[in-house]
Amino acid sequence: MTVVRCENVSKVYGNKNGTQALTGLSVNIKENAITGVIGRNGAGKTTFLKTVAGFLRPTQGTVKVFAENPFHHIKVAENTVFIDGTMMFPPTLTLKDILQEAGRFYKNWDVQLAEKLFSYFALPCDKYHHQLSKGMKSTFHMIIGICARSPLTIFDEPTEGMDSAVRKDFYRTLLKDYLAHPRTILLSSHHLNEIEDLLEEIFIIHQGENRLHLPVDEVKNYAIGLTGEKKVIERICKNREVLYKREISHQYIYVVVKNDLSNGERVQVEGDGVKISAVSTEDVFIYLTQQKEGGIDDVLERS
Amino acid sequence: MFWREASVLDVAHKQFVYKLKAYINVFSALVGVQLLGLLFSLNPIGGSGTSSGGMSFSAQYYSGDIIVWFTLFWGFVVAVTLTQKGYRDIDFTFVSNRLSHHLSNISFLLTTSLIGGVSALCASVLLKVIIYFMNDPEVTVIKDSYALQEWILGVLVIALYLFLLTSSGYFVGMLVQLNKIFIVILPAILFGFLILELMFGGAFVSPIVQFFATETSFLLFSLKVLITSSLLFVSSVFVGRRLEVRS
Amino acid sequence: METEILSGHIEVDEKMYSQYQLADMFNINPATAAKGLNLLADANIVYKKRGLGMFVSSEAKALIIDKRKSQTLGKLVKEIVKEANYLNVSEEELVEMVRVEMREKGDSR
Repeated sequence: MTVVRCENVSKVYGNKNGTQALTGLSVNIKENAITGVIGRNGAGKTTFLKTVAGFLRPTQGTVKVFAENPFHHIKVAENTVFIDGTMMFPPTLTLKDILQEAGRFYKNWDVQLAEKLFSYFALPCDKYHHQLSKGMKSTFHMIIGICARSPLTIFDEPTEGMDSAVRKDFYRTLLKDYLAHPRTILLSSHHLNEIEDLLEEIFIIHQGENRLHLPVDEVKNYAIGLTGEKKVIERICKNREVLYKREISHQYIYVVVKNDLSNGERVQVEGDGVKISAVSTEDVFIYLTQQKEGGIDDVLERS
Repeated sequence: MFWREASVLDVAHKQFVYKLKAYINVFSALVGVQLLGLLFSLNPIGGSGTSSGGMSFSAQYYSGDIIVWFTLFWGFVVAVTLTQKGYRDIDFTFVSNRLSHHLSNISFLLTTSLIGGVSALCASVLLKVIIYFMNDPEVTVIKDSYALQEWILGVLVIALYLFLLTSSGYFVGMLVQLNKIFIVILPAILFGFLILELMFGGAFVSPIVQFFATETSFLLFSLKVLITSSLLFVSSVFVGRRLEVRS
Repeated sequence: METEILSGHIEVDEKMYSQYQLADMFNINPATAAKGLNLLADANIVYKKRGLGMFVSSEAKALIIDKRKSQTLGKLVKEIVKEANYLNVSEEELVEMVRVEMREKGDSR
């Protein structure tokens, strides 16, 4: 079952010459799965998520959230919670008041969980939202996001400013609550390695496009690293797409290619003295979203 | 997890209650504004004196009009404020769509108009009491009616004027949200009309004012106000139909 | 998981953890846990009972030992031999090293 369906979605901010945030993005998000929305800064993650939530109007293409156009649709709004660092609250309400109000808006709201999390994370009841530090704000928003139990739950960079202990607690809380109450969760982050265990699918956005959308284990096997003599490696790479290349020395070289080697080829390659290594999802992400060929080394060499 | 069918009115009602709690400072501002109006009203608006045969009279007139004017201004400002991005985003932090957002704002403005009306009238009563005690009670004449009916009528008329002002404020605010250029255009239009008004002797603004102010039937007056306000609110909703939020 | 079975924490024919229990235990997505269970099922270490979940098969222990021998241990030995070649360590030397290590481990028990 698909909850979110995007077809050829483009978004340009402002007039026609404005910034292009999404360029023909198409993606289907699975129901009741946790999907990680991963991308570099400015890749279009936030624009994508806000379009799904119905806050932004796509310039082109169609977005369907549970078969409805989400832009200001009341059904989509009632079933969605959108958590990010810029959430606005009235300056006259204390945190406790806000939690109480939030509970009125979300039908699945869990009062007890909200209270327990609130005291566990040691948030001050009678303080106001604007008095909190960045990390405390994020923690507070996260509590709202989890306790709302919305069928579509969107977290846009929820861990900004949180220390690592709170981040870990957050991931654990999210997972446990998801196990008890499965729902569709979109979670965006820069730190893929931190959240990958939590995810069922990874959706990589690059320059406003769908760069990759696969189950986590397939991303884990998406690419392999080959280390060996230059000549041998070059022969192997002849008909393959090289995702990354780094010269270790004059003779030795490390390349990352798509993992399409058959078992026979593997044995053969290893026989040629080439070391095969796994490539982490984080590295796959980095190589897939490289702006140009080569990495930081090329820049440093030139100077 | 199941998706639920939602009702706009249901959400708008929740937002309205939320606003009453959250925007309590709007009403403390009202108290401040009316106290200020009261202070200004303590100056007599006019006086006359005559003397004959070694006796001299002097009369001073006081009026609570300033309080009402201040309250109207407050209503306008509140309405404009509600259309600002920050206030819009507060709504969209929780469940909201465009229509529920506007509906809850309009209900909130209607409530503020009523409260503004009641408190403006109370403030003018307070003014009379103060003036009564400030001056020699023996010679102070209060020109007033004590009939409950007239009181209610007074409150309603102020409230209706307030509602008219808030709907215009809301419309102006939405135009500015649509395009910042209206910050320049709207005052320009206003001053343009005022200048034309002076040049051609009341051809433009006066008819509008008279349309409301000279209406002697309360029923017709309220109809005029409600229809005009509704038109302004509908236009506001229309103007804001493509407005994005939390961007 | 395999280690749990090897160490005898879960007996033969006993019910295996569900994907949700596993997800909770290892802090991973339940879909990932389900895939892990399927791998075990494919290797006949666990078997499915319709509507009841996964159970540990009778040959689970043997299968796991076999698998680890051939895969994990085999791989490690390959690495050791490779490294020995780089360092010009002779076969006898290497075998001796292994013997010493095993004896020490035995003593400490």
